[in-house]
Amino acid sequence: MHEELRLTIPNDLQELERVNELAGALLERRGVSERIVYATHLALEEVLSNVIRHGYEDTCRHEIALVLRVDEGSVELEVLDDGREFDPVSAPEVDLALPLARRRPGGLGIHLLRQFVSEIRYERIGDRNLLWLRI
Amino acid sequence: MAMRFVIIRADDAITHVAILGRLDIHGVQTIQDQFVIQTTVRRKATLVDVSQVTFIASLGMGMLVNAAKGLQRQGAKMVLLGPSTLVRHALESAGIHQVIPIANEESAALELLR
Repeated sequence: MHEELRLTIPNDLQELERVNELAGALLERRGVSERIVYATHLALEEVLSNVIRHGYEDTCRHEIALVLRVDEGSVELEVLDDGREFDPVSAPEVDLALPLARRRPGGLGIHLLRQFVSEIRYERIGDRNLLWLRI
Repeated sequence: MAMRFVIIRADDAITHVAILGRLDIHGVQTIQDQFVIQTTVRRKATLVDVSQVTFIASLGMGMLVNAAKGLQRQGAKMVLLGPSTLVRHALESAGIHQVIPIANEESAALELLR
C-alpha cells in the first residue's frame, strides 16, 4: 500500500528545508533505499528551486503543489506550478566535455535530474506546468 | 547535520578545508562567502574534504566549480577528498570529476595538487 505526502508551498526557497524534512520522514518510515532517498531529495531540490528561482516574472506570492507518493521500492513526485512554461524534458543537454574554464552552472540541475530519475513527464495544463517523475 | 565549514590548514603551501553537512541550496547560502574567501581568494593549492558531505545538488557543484575556476585562473589547483558513494556518484554524473580531480586518500589528493 502506498503512502503519500501532499503539500502546497509558497514560492519561497526557505520552504525547501521543511519539504525535505517531511519527505525525509516519509521515506525513512517506508524504509526506502539510500539511493532512492538521495534521488528524491535531489529531485525535490532541483525541481522546486528551479521553479522558485526562475519560474516567475513577478515578485508576487505563488503556490506550488506537490505530491510525493511512496510505494514498494519506488517513489513518484508530481509538481504543479503556475510559473512560466518550462519543459525540462526537452531542455538541451549540458556539454560535460567542456574544460573547467568554460563550465557554466546553467542546465546542470536538469542534467542531474535526468541521471537520477527513471522517468520524467511534462505537461502544460492551461497556465500551469505539471511535472511527473518516477524515481 | 547542520552545514559547517572548517579550515584545517591554511599556510603558504596549501589550503585544506572541510565541508560538513548538506550542500543543498541552504548549505551553499550558509558557507559560500566563507568558502570563496578561504579558497579562491587565498590562491593556494586547495584540498576540499567532502567526506562528511551527506548530499550535494547542482548549486553545491556550481560553488565548487566556480572556486576551482578562480583558482585555475591564478595557477592553482583544487582536489576533492573522500566523497561518500552517493555524493561521488552525483559528482561523476555531473562530470565534475573531469574538471576537479577526486581522491579517496589524503596522500593521493596531495599528490594530485603538486
